[in-house]
Amino acid sequence: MKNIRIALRNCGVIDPEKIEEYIAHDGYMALGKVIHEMTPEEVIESIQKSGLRGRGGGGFPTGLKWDITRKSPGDVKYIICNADEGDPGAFMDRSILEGDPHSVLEAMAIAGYCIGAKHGVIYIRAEYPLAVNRLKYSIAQAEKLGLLGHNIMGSDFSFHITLNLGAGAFVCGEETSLISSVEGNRGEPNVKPPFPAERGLWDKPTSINNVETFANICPIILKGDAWFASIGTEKSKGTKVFALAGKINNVGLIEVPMGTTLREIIYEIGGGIQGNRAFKAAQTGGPSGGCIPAQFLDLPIDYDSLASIGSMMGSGGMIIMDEDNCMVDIAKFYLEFTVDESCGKCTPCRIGNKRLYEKLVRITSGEATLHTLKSMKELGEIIKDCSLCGLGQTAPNPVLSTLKYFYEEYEAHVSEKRCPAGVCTSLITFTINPEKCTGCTVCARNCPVPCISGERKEAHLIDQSRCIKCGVCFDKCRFDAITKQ
Amino acid sequence: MDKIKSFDELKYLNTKYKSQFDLTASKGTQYILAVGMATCGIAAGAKDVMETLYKEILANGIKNVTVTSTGCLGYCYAEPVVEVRSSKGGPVLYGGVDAAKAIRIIKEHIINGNPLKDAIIERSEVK
Repeated sequence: MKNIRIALRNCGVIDPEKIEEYIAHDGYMALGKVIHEMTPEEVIESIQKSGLRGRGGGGFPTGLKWDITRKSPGDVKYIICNADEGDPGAFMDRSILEGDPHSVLEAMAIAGYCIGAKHGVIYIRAEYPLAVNRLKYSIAQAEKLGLLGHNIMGSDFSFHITLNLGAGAFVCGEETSLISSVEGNRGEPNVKPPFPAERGLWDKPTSINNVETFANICPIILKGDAWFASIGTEKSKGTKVFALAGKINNVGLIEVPMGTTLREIIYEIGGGIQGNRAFKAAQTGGPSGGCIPAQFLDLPIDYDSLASIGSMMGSGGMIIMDEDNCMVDIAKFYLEFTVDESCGKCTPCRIGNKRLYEKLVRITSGEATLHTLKSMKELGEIIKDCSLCGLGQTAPNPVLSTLKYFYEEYEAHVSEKRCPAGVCTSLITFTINPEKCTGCTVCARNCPVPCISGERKEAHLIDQSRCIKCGVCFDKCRFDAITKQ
Repeated sequence: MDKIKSFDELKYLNTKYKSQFDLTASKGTQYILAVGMATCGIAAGAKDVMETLYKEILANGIKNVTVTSTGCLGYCYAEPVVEVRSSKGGPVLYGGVDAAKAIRIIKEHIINGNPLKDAIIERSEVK
């Protein structure tokens, strides 16, 4: 199993600041072909035939989105590129914008030609300074060469692109919030419908597409929709870029055909789990996604298969976990993130997720009962059903999926007051095995409290009442004399 | 550079630049050293690597090497990375490059023609 690079075709190949190199790699040829040889309808039909679906996470067919936006009445329309990448541990969009900015600019112009827009906006977070600088530089370069701006390549089609810097709110990746933010208002979502394709930026029809979606457009135009549709699974075509992170040997950015299995990604491309430990779960879709247990290692990954097991494709973050990860702690981590990032507009998300988070805290501190688990599931489903936007509708996913696949781990926390992975500090104790302890004093000297006593060459003892469970003694002991339970 | 006024002009430039960046068309052995300069590479020290490469090239009076920056190659675990492209033979990808390895790349690979076996990372993509 190997990477196939479509969206990342030029990343790491060309110098992103030299437009000549991009042109040498067939840059702006797709735009030229579209403007001079195809009608907007033909282009949209080709994108629809290719089966390309939005890479931001939702998986809505891109061609259909363009078609709806084109058919929406109005003279002024907009293209927005969603570069508000916010999932913890995901950096696909940043890599594309830093390594191949022109591919996104070119595809935005193609989208503009299709739907009848003259203006495109890239909504990008200010914490990506290098990507912002390269985009600014590339836009200026392309305008100077007449590949963007007025009368592109001598035709009567004009397209301008401006940047809009976001302050880094996670909710602004949701399209209606993003539009509010571009308009200068608070980043809060609105009720859909009307969808942005009908009434978006400044109430005009707007097509919002993700960076990676745009990066796929030019190859489809140049190589044909049939070529693209030949890659992937029946309902998910092409490739997907994943940011592989966590307990994996080869952390990095990969691009694989849809339908690749987790096993192929982890063991063939990722080089296996660190320290040859056992695989426990893969988290996809960031804070909106779920945890995939080992039983699905051979499931071909696409939009629909992931949704069917309670996770989602998301933008492409993939975090690999081994047996040292506590799933309750992982769910808590993600929920803490969404509680922080909830905009507060609707009650289920603002209050519901907060209450859900408190329940998780009670579990990890050993104060919960089995009833807590039951009520968590109930609350999670209510939040999913009632929240206004995608953030709230998916926020309970990490909790619900871990409850479903790792219930016995929750049970251990609740009934036995025990954390099987040894992560939740309230539930673990460190003890010294007097038979193995050689009295080398390393633990006592490194203990930050300090709460370890004992004479040299005699067994040591941990004062449990003062132990802060930092684990330093456990890490420092060379004789395997300290147990963590 | 002037504005491109037609699709044909773009097609012409496409062909022109293609041959310009085509290493195999050049006389003698030509090298391109591409340094991964995305945020991750820079954070891992790619700028120092690039500077060292320039210094060594100047110090040794090497004429057949171009240093260029490029985007993310995807090998986060091995940053900073340097790809040595050559007019003869396929590209070689080095990982975990620091100033010392950069000097070795120039001395051993470019001058003596012996790739650094201990620093090569296996590629995982097909073209």
